[in-house]
Amino acid sequence: MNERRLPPVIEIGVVAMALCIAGTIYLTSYVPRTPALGPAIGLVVAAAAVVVANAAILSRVGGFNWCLFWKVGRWTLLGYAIIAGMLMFTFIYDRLPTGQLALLVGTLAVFAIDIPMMLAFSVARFEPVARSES
Amino acid sequence: MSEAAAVPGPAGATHADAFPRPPASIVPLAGLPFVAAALGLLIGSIASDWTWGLNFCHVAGGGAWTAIDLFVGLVVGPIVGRMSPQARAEFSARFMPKMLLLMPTLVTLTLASGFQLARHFGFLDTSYPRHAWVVASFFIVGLMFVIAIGILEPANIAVLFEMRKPRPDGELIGRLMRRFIYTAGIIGMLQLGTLIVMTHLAV
Repeated sequence: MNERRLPPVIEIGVVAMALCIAGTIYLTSYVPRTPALGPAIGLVVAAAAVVVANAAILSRVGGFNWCLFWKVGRWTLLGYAIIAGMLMFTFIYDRLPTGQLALLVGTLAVFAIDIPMMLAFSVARFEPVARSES
Repeated sequence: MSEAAAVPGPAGATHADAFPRPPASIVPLAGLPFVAAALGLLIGSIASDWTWGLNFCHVAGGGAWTAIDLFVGLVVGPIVGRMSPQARAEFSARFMPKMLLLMPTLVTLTLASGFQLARHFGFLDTSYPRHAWVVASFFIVGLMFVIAIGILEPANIAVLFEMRKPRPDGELIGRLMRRFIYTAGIIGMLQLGTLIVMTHLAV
């Protein structure tokens, strides 16, 4: 098989997703009221830190098929933008309080990096570098 | 294994030659108008506060999502597991591109309309007597989302790309397909949890 030892990008990405979702559940559980934003801010910041660390770890991998990684990542980002746009439309239409809305936008932004990175990695990891260069 | 994939078959053709290929485009483009129509209905229902439209999106989307997950995980999965690698690959080549388009659409329809309905009917309000059930549904949906995006969807996409290679790795495809089907089954079981919550809300 074309597998080799690579950093646990998917697993770390799942941790970031779990942090984001925990923050979203916390916020949406109180709609239309605004809860204390501290815990949600902490969760989104932690998720962002995990995503940045994940990207840093991935960027140090040598001999990786970056060409395919970016190709899949771009298309995933487009698909994700449609779903995120739909969710944003719902939140804005519902006139969520500014603090909650800002945090939900932040969460979607973290997702926008995390999810395409995970999906692109899951494809590029099985693709030999030579093929993309040919 | 890749070595196995390169071994010539009985008819002289290589194993790789025998693998059916997904269409040139990973995403089935013919399905995009249907996706656009579904999202259009959802946006229109939200924008016009059309309760029937929201109900339709939520019930039809959620019902199809649950049924497909359970059917794939508990019925199709065991059948595919017993197929020959050739038959499994042929099934995957036709099945996986459709799932790539269908599932995100159903999920978006269900979640966005569900959130709006919950808001309209006051289920999100903490004073609502069954608010705890609503929050429980958020947890279940969150867990399903993590499993779907973290495990299921990467397997789906990786299978499609693997099948487009000149020499697809049959064992890798089989392993990824098993992962896809098991996680679909797990999500299906979690969907039963959602059904329990929803039926409590409907009482």
